[in-house]
Amino acid sequence: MSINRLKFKIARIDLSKGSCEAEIRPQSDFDLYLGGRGLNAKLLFEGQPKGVDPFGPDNQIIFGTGKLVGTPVPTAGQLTITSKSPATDLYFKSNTGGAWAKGLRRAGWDAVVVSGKSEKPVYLVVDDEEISIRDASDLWGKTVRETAAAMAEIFGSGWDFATIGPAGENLVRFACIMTSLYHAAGRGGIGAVMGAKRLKSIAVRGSGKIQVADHEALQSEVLSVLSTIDKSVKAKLYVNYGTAATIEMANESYALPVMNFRRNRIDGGHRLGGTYLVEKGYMVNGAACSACPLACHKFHQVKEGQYKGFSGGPEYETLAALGVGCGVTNPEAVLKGNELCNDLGIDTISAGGVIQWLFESVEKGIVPADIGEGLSLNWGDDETVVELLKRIAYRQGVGELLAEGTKRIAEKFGGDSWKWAVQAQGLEQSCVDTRVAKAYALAFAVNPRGPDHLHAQPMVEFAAFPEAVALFKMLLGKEELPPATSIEGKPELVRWHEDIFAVTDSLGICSFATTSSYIISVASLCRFIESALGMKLTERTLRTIGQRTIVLERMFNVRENPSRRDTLPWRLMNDPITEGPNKGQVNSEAELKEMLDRYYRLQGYDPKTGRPTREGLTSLGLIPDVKGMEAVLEDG
Amino acid sequence: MYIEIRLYHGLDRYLPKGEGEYGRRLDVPPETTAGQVLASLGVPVHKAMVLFIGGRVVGRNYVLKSGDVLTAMLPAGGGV
Repeated sequence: MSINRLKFKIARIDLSKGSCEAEIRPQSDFDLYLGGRGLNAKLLFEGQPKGVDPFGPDNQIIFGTGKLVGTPVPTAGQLTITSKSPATDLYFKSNTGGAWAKGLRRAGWDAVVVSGKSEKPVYLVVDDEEISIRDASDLWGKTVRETAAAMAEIFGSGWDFATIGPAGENLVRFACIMTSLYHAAGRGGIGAVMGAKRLKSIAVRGSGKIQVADHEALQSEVLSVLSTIDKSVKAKLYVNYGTAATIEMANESYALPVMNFRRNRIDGGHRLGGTYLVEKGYMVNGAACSACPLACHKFHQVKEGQYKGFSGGPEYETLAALGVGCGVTNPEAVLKGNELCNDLGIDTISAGGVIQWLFESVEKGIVPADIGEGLSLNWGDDETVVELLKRIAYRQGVGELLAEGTKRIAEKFGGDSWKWAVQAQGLEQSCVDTRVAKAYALAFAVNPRGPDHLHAQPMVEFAAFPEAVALFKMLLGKEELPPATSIEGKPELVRWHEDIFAVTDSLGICSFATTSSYIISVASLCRFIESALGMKLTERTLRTIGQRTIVLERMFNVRENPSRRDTLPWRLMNDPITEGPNKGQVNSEAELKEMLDRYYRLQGYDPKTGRPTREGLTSLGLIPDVKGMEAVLEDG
Repeated sequence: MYIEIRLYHGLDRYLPKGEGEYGRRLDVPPETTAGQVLASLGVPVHKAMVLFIGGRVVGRNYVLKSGDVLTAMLPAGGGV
């Protein structure tokens, strides 16, 4: 079986018809989009009209890898899953690590596009070039762990699975897809899209070899990147503590979103941090995604007590969302909650966000306290948080309402509860207090999937380590760096980060490498592409490719909802910080507008509407390359 | 005068014996700087180390005041 370095082979599965067809894409797809997230965006845009029901058969769900996946490029193991979200009714892409993407590439496929809807539960089997649809009646209803065990009985070893849990089956609007027992493609409810199709799992096994263009040059660049990890403070923090190390940093700097973003520091918050988790023996091991030297994902264990068990994760976002966000500082409870989310297939950030809304709404008398049917709905009640996760997954009791997400539950209860629904476009905000990080504020506002960090991670604005300082100076041409609470220079930072993030996703590399820790530079990316794929691309070309994907994603949303505006949750824009050195900071309308104005100019968008123009789309090649793009402009 | 020192991300191994998870109460002379306290504990100079007083980033030559809480850690950030 040959695996082409530059052309994409995609599988189109129609679950309504029970059909599977292979398609070879033209090389122009690589030249324009690189693959992965970029190609997914194009396939989604072209493959469905405006207005499809996210739970309907016409909504595609696209699993796309990048051309570097399966090569020795560090962190090259990422998968992008793209669809229309049932949380936001907008474009959504989700990333995950693990080994599934590599399995798909070695099977000879670059993407799997699933449309239609099966009458009964099914799963897909991708066994090298053979793809089949099989009955999943015996798997439906099982948790992720139970499904993995059942699949292992059927398939043995050597397989990877992308699976939904009960949350996806029950159409929880923030259900995720698990590509291992602890790797989640989260946010936005793409697990529910799979559930609506009655697609339980996709099993993949590949025996092919991924050939590279110049093995020696590739090896040299790999070793060069690996040698920087030892010198990189940031990278070593990931290695030693994982993302949990961010908890102490945020808590001590009064930047931690505590109790639904009402406070910024909590006594005992450090108990959810990496230092404590390591020191007290909770952290037992690291787990690396395919080809990753950072192994930032950590396993934890609670050895005894009511929360006894293993936990794959949690990450910073989970520790914040299910922990301090709910007023909880008991690490064992958060470890338990994390593992439940893994097993039930729930996005931890949205789950934490809607629980926080509930606690605040009960506190303020908007929601009656007895809605918990015996559960006490108070801040800090860790047993309640853990129990609510189960009720959400199975839509039981108050879980039926929580499963709809913060936006919808606030609409239902009314009053002023929408003000503390910390969401925009229907997506709960990630656990970054954007009132103290203005580049993040802009990145969250323009993110096509909603106020979330996995679009641009402009860590550089904290300028706290040498690589970040160097990048900041290069991007802004300044020696004196503006603080994170200033809006100066932030549109330029976001522009760079979103382009590079898009390229990273499209190649199948982890964003921690190219943003966040900056251990893979853009120049290094070019060398990887040349040595692995035989293509010589300049840094400028890479930036253009990244920008093309960003603009394409934006146009999907323009078509889908022309009234969508770049914005942030009401609380972040109206409730100033009440404590610490950043007291008084807020993401004001005026500040956001000033950043957006500059951002739109940098992007070449219409300054009034923030939309891409015909000239911009043509200059990027999206007109004429993307079918249906001109029609969006003509529709106005 | 008394200050509190908190150390994270592996720096906690330089804390003197005593009660408290990552913090210790120290008696230091007036006009002591943050850098001097760290040096007295044997904390190696690390270019990327971040120092906070009350959540605000300070340099090693910050002159401590009575009751200050000095936190030192490595620059973590970025989540998933």
